[in-house]
Amino acid sequence: MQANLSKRINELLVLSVLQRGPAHGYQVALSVEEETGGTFSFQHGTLYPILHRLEADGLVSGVWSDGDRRRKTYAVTDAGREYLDGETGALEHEFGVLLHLLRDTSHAA
Amino acid sequence: MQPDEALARLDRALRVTPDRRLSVLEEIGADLSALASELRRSGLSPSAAHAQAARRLLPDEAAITALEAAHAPERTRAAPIVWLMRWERVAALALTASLTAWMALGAGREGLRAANPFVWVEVGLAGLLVANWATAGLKLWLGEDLRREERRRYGQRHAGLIVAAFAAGALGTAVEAYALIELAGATSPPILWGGVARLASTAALGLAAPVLGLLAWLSLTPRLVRYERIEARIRRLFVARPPRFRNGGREP
Repeated sequence: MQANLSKRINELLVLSVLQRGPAHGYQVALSVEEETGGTFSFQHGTLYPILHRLEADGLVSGVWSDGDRRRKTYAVTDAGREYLDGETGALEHEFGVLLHLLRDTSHAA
Repeated sequence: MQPDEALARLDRALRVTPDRRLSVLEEIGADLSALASELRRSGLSPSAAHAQAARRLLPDEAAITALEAAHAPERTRAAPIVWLMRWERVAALALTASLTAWMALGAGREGLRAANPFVWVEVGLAGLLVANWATAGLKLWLGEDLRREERRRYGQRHAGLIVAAFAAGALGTAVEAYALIELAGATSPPILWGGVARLASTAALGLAAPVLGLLAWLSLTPRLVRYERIEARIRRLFVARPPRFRNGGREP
């Protein structure tokens, strides 16, 4: 459950950053950290398996640019946008239920 | 740890197909240098920028495992393939023993008694050639990963077996030729023809095993060459980085 939740949150964080525009992997990592005030961050290369899995699932697309050095840029796909919308709603509902329960418990105590 | 060294270590640790390994290393290498440059521009010293970029982007053991899972070909996750990859030597020996036993059964009791010992050496070597080719092929076609050192090891073993098979064939043929010369003056034509047939079949086996072994290895070479090219590109990644990455993080 915990691993699954963390996986879903990580995927949504990546997709939401990419929804604002294409970015390199390291830019995604920086944006997530900056925009969440450091609450969420990707360390030790944990971002890449997430990006690659999303790419394999067709939720983001990776494009290589040729220059002095080949670099990969990611963009969210239509399927990724749809997934982001659906999962955000689902997560909102799940957290709502959880917070409701926790608040009720703390009030009762 | 130097970025080149860290990338080289990642290259060694990551068990995915060479083309995927190249793309992962290219991506992480480019991101590492871009992030380190950004961090330097924001005021960090080159070595601190590097350390921070590496801490964020270089995959640790758990991330490497996750990367392998994300890139593993579907078929390599099948239990029989995992077993074969793990017990490669056992599988090779079993294949050799089965092939030798099959040939022995085919020859029958009479055949076994009459056979030239070099023929059995030849049969054993042929079995080892098949096993070596099959395990290398299995790793190449199913596992899709055969590192440079492994390729060299399999190649050298195959070359050695081909030479040994040729030598055993030549010695077997020489033994049969000597026996035929001894028979030549004294025996009847049917026995003589029997000797000629044994000489011819020993020579044929002595030639067939190394030639077929060579052809079998040649069937693997297109993929071996492709892997060699990809790994040459990977090696270039480690030496083509800007000097600051090869200079302890100091600016040139």
